[in-house]
Formats: sequence, structure tokens, C-alpha cells
Amino acid sequence: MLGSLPPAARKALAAALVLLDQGARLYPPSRGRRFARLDDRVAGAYVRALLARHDVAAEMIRRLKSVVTMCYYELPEVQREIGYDPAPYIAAVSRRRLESYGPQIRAAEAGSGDSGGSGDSGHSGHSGDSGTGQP
Amino acid sequence: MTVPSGLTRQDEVTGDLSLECGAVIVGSGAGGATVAAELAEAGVDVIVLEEGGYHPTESFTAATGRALRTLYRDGGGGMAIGHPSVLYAEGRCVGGSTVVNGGMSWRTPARVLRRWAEQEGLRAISEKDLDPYFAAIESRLSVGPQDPETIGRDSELFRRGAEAKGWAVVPNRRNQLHCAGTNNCSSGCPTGAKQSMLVTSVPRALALGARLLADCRVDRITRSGPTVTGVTGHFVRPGGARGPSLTIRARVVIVAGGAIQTPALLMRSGLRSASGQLGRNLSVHPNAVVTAFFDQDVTGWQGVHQAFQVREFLTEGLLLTATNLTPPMLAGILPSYGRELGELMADYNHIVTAGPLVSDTGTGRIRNVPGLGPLVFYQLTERDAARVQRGVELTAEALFAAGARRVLLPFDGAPEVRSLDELHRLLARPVPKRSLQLFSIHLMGTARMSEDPRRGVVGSFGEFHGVPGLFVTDASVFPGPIGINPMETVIALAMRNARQLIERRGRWAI
Repeated sequence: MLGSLPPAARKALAAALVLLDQGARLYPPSRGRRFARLDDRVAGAYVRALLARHDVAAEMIRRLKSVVTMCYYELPEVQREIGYDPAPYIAAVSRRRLESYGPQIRAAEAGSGDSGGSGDSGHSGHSGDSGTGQP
Repeated sequence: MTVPSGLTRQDEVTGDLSLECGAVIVGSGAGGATVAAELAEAGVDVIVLEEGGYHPTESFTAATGRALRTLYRDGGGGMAIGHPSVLYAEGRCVGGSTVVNGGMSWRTPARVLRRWAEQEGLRAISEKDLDPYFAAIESRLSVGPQDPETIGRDSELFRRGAEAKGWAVVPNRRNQLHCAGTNNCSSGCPTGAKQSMLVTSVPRALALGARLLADCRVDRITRSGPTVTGVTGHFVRPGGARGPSLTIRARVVIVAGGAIQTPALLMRSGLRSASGQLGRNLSVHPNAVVTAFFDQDVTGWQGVHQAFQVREFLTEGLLLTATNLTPPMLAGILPSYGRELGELMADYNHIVTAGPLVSDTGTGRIRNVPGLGPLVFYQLTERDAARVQRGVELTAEALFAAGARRVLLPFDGAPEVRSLDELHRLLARPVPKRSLQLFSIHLMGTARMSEDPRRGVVGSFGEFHGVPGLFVTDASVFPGPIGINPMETVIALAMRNARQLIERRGRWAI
């Protein structure tokens, strides 16, 4: 996931991690320790103190947390642990789609051909709905 | 991977390229692909340039990281700088943002069209003028409500809550051919049911003779005097390395890179608008997410997201809907940290996420910074902050009405809320603007359309004021926010502009 960030953002991320880690030394309750050495209670208080400033440091914490947790919850074993396993579900509903609407889908796709116009999609709910964007 | 005939990727290009065509189109999303198909059908020699890669339907999975790497610009991590900052995402792939959007397809509200016509003196933009285009789009892209078996429990719960409050709820309309309900819209539709540009207008344009160069970044628009002569650019190798150069001579240049990239390209090409509006007037439709926890199993990822919209508050500029987020996306935006976040995420299958989309009154701007590219600045107004707060409150009310036990609000440091009383007490006073957590997927308005060159960047049909042969056709031309999902409006305007261009093709010799 980090590879998708632009080079400048990757550099900023590394710098932010160092700042977060070493900046903890200036937080009195940490008693000179870096962030990685803090216990959960003090580490949480340090993060909350930074967030309460509503400044660049707070924004940096938000972004760091976002990147780190996104990477963590992308791990398949972590996803399974919280009950998220989409591949079998996607396979099942994809089959259901073809079993239920196969002929209409094939007809619409064939109709799209070189003109791109699917014409009649075979949707049950499409007629009479103007979609004006109004309530 | 089978690559369609007419589409060229960076790995097929070994040396510098110099090409010629009638019309070169920058961007292959809702605006660019639509114009390409229309012009190609009329026999115009068209080349489409797309900065992103070609990723076919069979490559789409539920892996968020894969999607962010391959389908989004900068991993979907754009940020509009302000107080608060607003996170935004832009698609960057063949098919553009239509590959990763929710596929919501709504006509431009008539009141919005009226306002645009009156304020900007725009021609041929009434509801009656656009009706034929909307009808054609809806037929071609198979726009309609979901098949009932695809609707997820999160959407049902939100609908039930809103209806219990007596609010107007409408089924959402999507460009989908019997959507399977995989809930994978934002990572690319794995069945091809979503009728994005990737599976509709792009293949149509290619079949009609258009050429498409993927992995190709446009550096500048070239001119001779005031008249455009084409573009220069380069192919992008894996990892972002610069590949062979590209020069295209064209009689018409059409820019459709979206509301951030379009003004950025125009500005770095040295183009100026007499109106001073190029890069300004950015609207973002700020979104916020309320997270609700239910006793029962919701498993919101099973079934399509946003099956319904609450339109009760549209006149206040608020649209409410339920949107399931994948675990990485949800963990990324929850205003919680450490152990607390882990405990919340353990309840993932009991969560409904929903929120307001705000039709904003504030505006932002784009600035090109050498070495960094476009930077986006946006200031949320006090009025919009109040709207966000009200939208969050209404969303939470609907979720409690649906049976939620507790909700998390998108404000830094906000405590968990367990009842309506607590909710109303907490929100009795304005929440500090800086603590709002906002994001956007609707970016609009940075090359405003106006018949008056002193007010707008382009005219009624997307023609850049004062630069013959240059056109813009994407959401950047919107004179203001539209308050609903913008895709169908972008496509309708693109189709209309393309047909007007075809009528006047003699002028451009295309």
C-alpha cells in the first residue's frame, strides 16, 4: 500500500514517524522515553495530547494512524479474524447473477458490440423512473 | 491479459512517439471517454491519453491495497489543505473515476440547471435541452435501481431508520447491468456489471476507430499563437519512472482530467483565463461518516452499498446514505486509536456506516507548485460546518431509530454516544470546525462554465474562452456544486458538447 504513495509523501511519512517517535521525549509523562518505549497508557495520552492541538502535528498523527491501520487491516489473517472474507461471497453472488439473469446479460452485452448501446438491459425496475434527481 | 485493439500500454512503447490526429482527448473517464465515443462515431480521428494503466474487469478483487495502487491517483490519498483538511480520492486508470465510484446515476436537478443558466447565461442547458442526453445515457449505461436480492443489511437498516423518522427515502439508481451486489465498487467491479467507461464508452470508442494510449502523462498543451496545436507528454514506466516522450499534433484538444488535474494541466501549459477563475471555485461535497454498532449481525459488506438515499433534507443541501467501508478504509477513518480502535474493529460485522454529503457553499483553489504538482486548498465555511454537524446528527438519529446501540461521530475526541439524549446534548453547541473529519469524492468547478469570459473559464459548450480549439469537458466546468452524484451530469454535458463540436466540425477541419 505504501508503494502507491507519491515519493514526496513516502519521505514525509518516514519523517513523520521519526518525529512522532522522538517527539515523545519532550512529553513530560514519557520521562524522556521515545514513543516505541512507552506503555499503552502514556502512549495513548501522548497521542491524545497531540490531537488536541488541532495543528499540523495533529494532522500528521491522523495521517500516520490512517496509513498504519490501513496496512494492518489489509492483512488477510487480520480480516478473517474480524469476520471479513469477501472472496467466497463475491464468487457466490457472481454465480447467482449469471444463474438469475444470464440471458438478459448476454443479450445486453451482445447488443453493446461496436455501438456500445446496450439498449434493453432487461432490468425489472427501470421503466417509468425518470431519475430527475428530485425527491 | 487481453488488451483491446487500439489500446497501447507503456510496455509496448520503446521509443519516442510523434502522432497526428483530429482530436486529442486528455483523460478517459466520464467526460473523456464519452466525447471519444461520440467523435469516433462521427468519423473523427481521435486519440485518448490516459495517465493511469489499463486494468480489465478480471483483475479486480476485494484487496483494497491493490485497488489503491492501481486505480487511484497517489493511492487515493489526496488532501485539500485547510482547517479542517479534506481527504479526497481521484481515479487514475483507463475508465477514470467511473471504475472506482459507486455508480450513482442521477440527472442534474432542474433547480441547479436553472441557477446555472441564470447566473452564467448558459445556452442549451435547461432540463428540456438535456433530457435527450439523459435518456440516451440511461439506456446505454443501463441505469436503474438494484435488483432486490443484492441489497445489504446495512442499507436496509438505514432505510428502516429513516422511514421510522418519516423521511423521504428513494432507491438509488446506478449504471449497472444486474449488479451482483459484491460491494466492490470502489475497488473495481469484479463482474463487469457496473457500466463504467472501462466496459462501455472506452471499448465503444476503440471499436469505432479511436486510439487510446494508457500510462501516458500529458505535460503541456501546445499552441501556435492563441490556437492550440496539440499536446506533449511522456509514458510512465512502473514505479513512476519517465518513459519515452510523446508529441501529438491535433486540431482540437479536449481536456477531461477532472477538477484537480484539468486546471493543473491548463496552468502548467501557461494558459490563463481572463476571468481569473482557472483553478478557483472548487467545490468538494464534503462527506462525514457516522459509525453505528448494532446487536445483530449486519455483515454490511454482503450486498451493495448505498442502495438508498435519504432526500428529505435536499433543500438544506444534505443527502444522507449508508456506505459500507472495507476494514482498511474504516480503520483509516475511525477517530479512534490503539487498543480502542482494535476493540471497535472487532465488531466490524455489527457496524453500519452512514453519513451526509453536503452541498457546499465554500470554495477552494488549485495551485501548481513546481516539483510538487497541484496543491489543493479548501476552506470549509462556518455555514457548511453547521450543515455537516446537522447532517451527522440526522444520520445518527436514523441509526438510533434503526436500533443502533451506540454511535461514533466523525469529530476528534467526541465521546461514544449511546442515546438520542446524549446525541442532542453533545451537539447542542457547534463542534469546533477543526475537529471535523471530512472526505470527498466529488470534486467540481475549477474551470467554471460561463458565457461571460469575465466570470468563467469556458463557454456553454466547454470551449476555453480566448483559446480556439481548446475544450474542457469534466466536472471542472460545473459553475457550482450540484448536491447529488455528478457522474450523469458530466456524461450528459460531454455528449452534448461533443455533438455541438461535430455540428461545427468544419471550423476545426476534423
